Amino acid sequence: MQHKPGHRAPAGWWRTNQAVGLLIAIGVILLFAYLWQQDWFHREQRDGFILGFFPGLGLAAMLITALALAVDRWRHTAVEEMQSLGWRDLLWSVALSAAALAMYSLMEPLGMLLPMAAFLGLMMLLLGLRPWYLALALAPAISLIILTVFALLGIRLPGAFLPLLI
Amino acid sequence: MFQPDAFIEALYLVLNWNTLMWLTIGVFVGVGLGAIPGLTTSTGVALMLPLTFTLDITGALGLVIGLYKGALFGGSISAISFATPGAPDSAATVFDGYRMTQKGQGRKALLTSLYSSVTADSLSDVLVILIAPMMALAALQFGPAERTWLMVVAIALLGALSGKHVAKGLFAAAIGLYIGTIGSDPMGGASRNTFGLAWLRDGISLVPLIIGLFAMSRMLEQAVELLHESRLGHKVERRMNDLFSNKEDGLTFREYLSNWREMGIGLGVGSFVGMLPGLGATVASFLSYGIAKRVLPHKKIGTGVMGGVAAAESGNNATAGPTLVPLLAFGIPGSATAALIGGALMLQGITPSPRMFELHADVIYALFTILILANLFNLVIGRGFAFFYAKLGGLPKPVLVPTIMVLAVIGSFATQGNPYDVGVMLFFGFIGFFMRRFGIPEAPLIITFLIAPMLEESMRRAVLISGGDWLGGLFNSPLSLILMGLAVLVLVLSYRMRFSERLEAMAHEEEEESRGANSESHR
Repeated sequence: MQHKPGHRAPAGWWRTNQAVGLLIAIGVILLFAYLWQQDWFHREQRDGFILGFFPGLGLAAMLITALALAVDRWRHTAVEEMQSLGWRDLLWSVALSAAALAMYSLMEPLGMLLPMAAFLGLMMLLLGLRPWYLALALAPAISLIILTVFALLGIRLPGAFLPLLI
Repeated sequence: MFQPDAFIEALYLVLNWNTLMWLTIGVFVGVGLGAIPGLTTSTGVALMLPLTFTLDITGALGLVIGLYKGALFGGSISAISFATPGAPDSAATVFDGYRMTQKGQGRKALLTSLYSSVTADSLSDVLVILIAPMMALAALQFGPAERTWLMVVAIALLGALSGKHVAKGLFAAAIGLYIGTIGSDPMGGASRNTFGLAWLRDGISLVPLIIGLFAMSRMLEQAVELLHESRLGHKVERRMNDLFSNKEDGLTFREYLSNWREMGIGLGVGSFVGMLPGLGATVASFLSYGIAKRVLPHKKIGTGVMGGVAAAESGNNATAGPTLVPLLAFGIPGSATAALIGGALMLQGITPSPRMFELHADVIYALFTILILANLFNLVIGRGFAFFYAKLGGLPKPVLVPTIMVLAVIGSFATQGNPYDVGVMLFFGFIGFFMRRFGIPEAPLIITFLIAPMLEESMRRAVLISGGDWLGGLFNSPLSLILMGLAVLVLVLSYRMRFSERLEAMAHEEEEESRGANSESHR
């Protein structure tokens, strides 16, 4: 939820639209500088357009809107969800994504069932499911259901059911 | 324009066990997804997209449309049962629905919700069937310049109306425009913007992008919330045990008919809002509820009456069909769900555009038939399994969140068997997490991503036709000028009128009033 325009956000400046807008604008400028240095960016096509025209147009639109965030009447406001956002939350989201990636990476060498059940069990425990044995019982059961349904539907899976099995 | 042969072919395609089975599964799963707080329609459709790849076109449409319609109604189940809307679309249903439950009329509220949803949905589908072909016919007359400006208008509308902050909506659209250019040039096929990565030459795949933005990001958000503290799910879980018992009154036909004005308002508002890019079911639901409350003061909407539920739910469900009109008539999706349905069509090798009515008339008729049939299935499944779904709403999040994460990983891999797609999905999951926390809507991103190649092609064609003259190419007709003016007007007005802020204030006002009424009744 937004605060009314003109009201200063109680959170720190870096959580305001202005700060995030400026941060994004800097990122977009850096990305644009990188693209500008690429050979393909300036290569002219048969219709006279350079190859980098549309990516550049997208970046220009991103830059303008990011700067609009930093200067418009809502610049000092901070979204409620942003006010409660901490570094820990960002780290958790990266860690959880990494855990999902690790599960996927282990699916080929270990088969799908083990990494999936381990991921589900650990995540359930981490997210607060109690008693602990419920998580340990549910994890393999859910994994089996998912794998069976997907296999029956003929969906391509990232690994075998169990190690060394097809 | 009507093609009888194609219509008969469509009936043959739809009325077979395979399509009907997927339609049933879609509605069944959809109502369940809708009933579970935290799972939205878009999340459900995104997770099902990889599955559509293995189905034929009508099976895929049955699954996706059934799921969409089912989820729209399903959201009201948890809103009525324990004041927690399954999705934001059903937030307005809480005001009267939950109060009816507190008064011991939960069953009546649920049936009102179901019948008004299905009525408004069916009538709005008829509207789509009448309007979409006419609009497509008009769209076929557009040249590249008009098409370009039409897409610009759509992007402006999306940016202006999607979020609470115009610049954030437009920023999301700009990201979509940029990532839509990753891969290869749509005219010449030259590789560009790939950061030196060979696997990016085909561009960002639609399925992992959608799953990342609509499923993974929401699960990351919920996981972080769970890690913080909340065990809210446990608090509300037990309140519903004695609801929907057979002792409670049902809904008579006379009572159903007594809500015709509320349903009419919902139908009108929902159909109009559904056709506009960017607004969506949540806005339609609140607008319809607010209008009914003001126009029909004698109904005492807001005090726990059927009329409030009927207005909110009919407004919400009446957007389901009309949201497909811009997609079918112009090839421009008007909402996130329409974009996902467009994605499902593209996975089947059919590009949504006005030419679809000529090239794939059978698919269009099949889609219309499925739209109507899905309502019937929604009615039967909603009526028969409401109690089961109400229980499902209490499913603990610590089980749900990791399960959906696993489905997201497998789903993003399944479509192409490409390991990089899992990485793309996780990357956009993180981006989506940040966007949600910062209040940037995801819908403009995905919609602009889908139309970016069309926009580029139209613009380049327009300039090419005029021999490189930009002004002559892009402003070659009065319609082009009108559309450009409209885009500018939309942006200026949205900044000046602060439409989203007003709407939010209205929702807040309703919530406050409802709270006030609640505390009075407790006294």
